[in-house]
Amino acid sequence: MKNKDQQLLEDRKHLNRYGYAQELLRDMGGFSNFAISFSIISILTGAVSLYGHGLLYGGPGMMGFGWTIVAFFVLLIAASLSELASAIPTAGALYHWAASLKGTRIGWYTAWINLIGQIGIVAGIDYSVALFADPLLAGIFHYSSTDTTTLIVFGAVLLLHGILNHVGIKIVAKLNDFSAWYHMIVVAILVVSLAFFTKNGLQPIDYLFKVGQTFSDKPYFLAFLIGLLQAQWTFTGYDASAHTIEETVHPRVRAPWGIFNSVAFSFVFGFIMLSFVTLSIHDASGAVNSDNAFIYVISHALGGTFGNVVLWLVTFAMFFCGLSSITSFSRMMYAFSRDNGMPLSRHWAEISRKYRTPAKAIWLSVILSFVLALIDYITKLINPDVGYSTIAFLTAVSVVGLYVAYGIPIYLKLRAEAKGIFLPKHYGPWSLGKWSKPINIISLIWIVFICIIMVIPPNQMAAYALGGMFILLLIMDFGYYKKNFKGPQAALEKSIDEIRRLEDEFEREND
Amino acid sequence: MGVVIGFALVLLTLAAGTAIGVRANKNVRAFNDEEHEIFVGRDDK
Repeated sequence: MKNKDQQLLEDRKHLNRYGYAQELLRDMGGFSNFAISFSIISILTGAVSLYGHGLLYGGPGMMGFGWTIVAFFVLLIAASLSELASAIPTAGALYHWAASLKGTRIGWYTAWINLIGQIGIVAGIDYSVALFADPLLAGIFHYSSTDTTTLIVFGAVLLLHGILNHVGIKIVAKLNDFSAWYHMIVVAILVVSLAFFTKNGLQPIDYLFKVGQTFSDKPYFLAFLIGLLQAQWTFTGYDASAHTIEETVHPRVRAPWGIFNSVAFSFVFGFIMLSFVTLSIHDASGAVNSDNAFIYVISHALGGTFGNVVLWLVTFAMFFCGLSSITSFSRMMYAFSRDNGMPLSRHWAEISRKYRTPAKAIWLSVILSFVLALIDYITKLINPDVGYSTIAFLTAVSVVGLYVAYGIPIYLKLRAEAKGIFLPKHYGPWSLGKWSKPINIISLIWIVFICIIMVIPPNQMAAYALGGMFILLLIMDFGYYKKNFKGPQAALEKSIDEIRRLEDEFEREND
Repeated sequence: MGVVIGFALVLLTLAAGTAIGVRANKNVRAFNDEEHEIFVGRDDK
């Protein structure tokens, strides 16, 4: 058994073999690595803010069947990604895996698609915080909540997340650890309260698996598929454990467990929470027609005061979720920029000597997320009759962006294995052996399926946005990066003396 | 009927998760760094 210093030395040497210096502060343990992904999945964010969406389209059966079906496939995807994280433990994660398994150009596209998904996820989460916090603050400070005030609150939340991320991984890791416990405790409070104090009693268990009832104008089967966005969006962002891999001690084992366990635990806790909330529904059509179906159900089951308390508890959970998302987003951007994959890469790859965080990448994450929501805000100002909600747009963009980025390296690993490029000796400690291939194939089938489902009407706006971004990527690629981007392979040309010199500089600054 | 199928699905998901976890854990314990080679890949643009 190695002590922490020996392990840190080994981790640093392993990272050096990919041509990278240990610039970020490696201080996260296994629980912190799990906590960051668990906090981003955040059952109290996705499952709650899209509870009305799930109920509207899939009825109560969406919570029993929809949640479980999605979780089953996401577990397989998480296992596929865990293997890759264990084999190639760098912060670039999806991007670096794709680039190593096939080539720099596909790596470049993977990185950008991942970044687009990350913009969507940060914007979607912090916009959810604003949607919940703005009416609460309006009640306290006596103003009227509008789209404009929601956008202002959204900007303030992003700003606060930027500051906390800027000042260090230690405080963010502590808040993440707290967030993981916080999620579990809030779910426990909610479940116990609903189990014992629901005013009209709980519905029979059949209600949870009742299919055939939709409150939308679509046929049930199609409506059920559209409703899957609730669960599918909740189960995103668990690649954060891989993006923080260079800050994790013993990363080849802890980060894959972080990815896999965050999905597994979210499934269990989410299922329990959704079951009790759904079984306490006595007026489903009233819930789907309310501003917030989740709060409507809780308020009717436990009273308005309790509903208000739950609102605050959920808002804080979302706040923690957004905090972790920016950590993940900025690490991805930092890793991609140190290989010169973005315009002005030099800045985004810069590590703050004082805080050992990618400070400029953090602030760019904040700005890009704000801009995405701002574009949507302006679109709605120009055309107030657009037939979609901001949150559905942002979440659909993030689901498709992230899952395409998850799918590319999984596919490329299968391809590299078939070609004899990726061999059994290349697997890290966390591997699936003979199960790997079938699990990878099923994961890919689900990714293709879910990406199609997420962009059909009423979410077609997400398809247009992603299509537009992809055209922009093609222009960037053919205009500049095709010739000039060298990918992670370029880092391998760095000498060990050069890497050590850089690490020594960081060590001296921190002493 | 829906309840039976629903809970069967929940159990299947739990069983799949547990089986994957157990298998991965077995491989983590059996891992030998001496036999491992880092994968840096190659660029076939």
